[in-house]
Amino acid sequence: MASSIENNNEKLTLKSSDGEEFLVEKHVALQSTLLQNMLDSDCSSADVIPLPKIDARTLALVLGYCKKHADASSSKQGELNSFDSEFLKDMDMGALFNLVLAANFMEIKGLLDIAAQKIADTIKDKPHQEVREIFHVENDYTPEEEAAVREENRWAFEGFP
Amino acid sequence: MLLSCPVHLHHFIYLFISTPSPPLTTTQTQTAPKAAAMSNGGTLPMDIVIDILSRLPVKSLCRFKSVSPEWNSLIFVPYFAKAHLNRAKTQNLKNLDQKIIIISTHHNLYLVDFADVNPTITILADFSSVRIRVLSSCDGLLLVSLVDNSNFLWNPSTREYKVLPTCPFALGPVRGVFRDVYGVGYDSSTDDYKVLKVVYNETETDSPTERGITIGAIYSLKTNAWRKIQDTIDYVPFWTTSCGVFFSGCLHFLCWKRTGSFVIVAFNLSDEIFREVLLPASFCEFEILDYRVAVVGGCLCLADLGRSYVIETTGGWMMKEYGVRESWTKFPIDVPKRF
Repeated sequence: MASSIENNNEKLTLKSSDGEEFLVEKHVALQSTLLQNMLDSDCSSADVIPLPKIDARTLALVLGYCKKHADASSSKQGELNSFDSEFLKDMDMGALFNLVLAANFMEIKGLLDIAAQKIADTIKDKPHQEVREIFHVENDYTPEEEAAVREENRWAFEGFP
Repeated sequence: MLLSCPVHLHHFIYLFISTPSPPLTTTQTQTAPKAAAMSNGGTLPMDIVIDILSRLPVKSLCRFKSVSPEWNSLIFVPYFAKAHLNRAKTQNLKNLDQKIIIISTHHNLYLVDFADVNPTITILADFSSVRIRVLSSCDGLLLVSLVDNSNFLWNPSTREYKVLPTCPFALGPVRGVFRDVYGVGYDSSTDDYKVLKVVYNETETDSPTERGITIGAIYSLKTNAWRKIQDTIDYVPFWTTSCGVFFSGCLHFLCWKRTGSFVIVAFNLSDEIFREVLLPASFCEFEILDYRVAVVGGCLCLADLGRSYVIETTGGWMMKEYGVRESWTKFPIDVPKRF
């Protein structure tokens, strides 16, 4: 029989797409709106919650972010800001994409926000050909169409190949 | 003579899908309708791609139209433009009024960026063959008049423009003193940008209190048409110093009332009613011609620019609480060294 005290220290288990399980304190999990809704709707915390779209490496990062923000909710905002920028500092584009997808799926607004901003800051000054590759976009333009669109926006290409 | 109007250049408005005359627009009409049936753009779902793109400066976006037809049409759709504008507005609250467009010698438009320690000045556009006037601005859209009195809306961030159709209403008899003033603003109730044109005709023989009539017409960007305001207007706008200043859903003009006093008139773009914003109680009306309506630091202001050529500091009035006459507060303005 679980007492109310035990309930406060409740933990839940998350399972990544590659089968790794993570034991997470409830107040950390509440950073995610998705998990919050599941807990609110009487989803038993004894169950393992599968997250089939998120691999272990990404989930570890996400939970690191959640823990910092859950524990630091009463501390200074500046400290969290510097944590956020340090957190994303040397992350490659693949990891950022995984992170933004995980934050979107788990509905962690703050994480989605900083990861999307980091991606935007990274691609801002890149040539469009490189952005095309980063986002895996298929180029459906004919060479003539592409030249025409480029000509319309010629001013934006100063200094670009 | 310098005329300045504050504009946030981050603001990004793709309203001009029907951009009339630049060459090579044929590809636009082919690609634009595709937007609704957007598929997954790659590894990220489209809503996340939109989120990321809405954080980019206009110059990057114009370059990334070349990524694919899908991205091109995505950057065209109105809800994307709105997301971009709203984000720019929120972010700009922190560094308000850092970018200003200045028109000089009626030919060139300059952008002055005060975000740097050393403000930078760049030429935005060179109208060396035509004489232009910037009449009004809203959300980074400029309402510009050419020497032949034709008007166009221009988004300098994207270099797009739209020529306004000629106002079809004969706005009063063309004799005696004639003046027209304009303003551009945003009507949130219909999600539309509107241009207000107010025309005053003064006939020579009428008595001072009865002379002349003021009438108006409204242009809607959505319908691309002019509509006449039914009632005649009880105010006479100043010609040289009054261009419509958009603030809090209204276009503001300095006007002369038929009772002989002066007032700021606020035209609400949603209910299309003229209301009065009273001048400060201790305002010296003899100096009214030196003043311009302006928006500074998120407040409606009266700025004394008339003497800025002879003294180094001038002043203004700031309406700290919009619509409350008692909240008018004096503030000093430093006049920058001449360029």
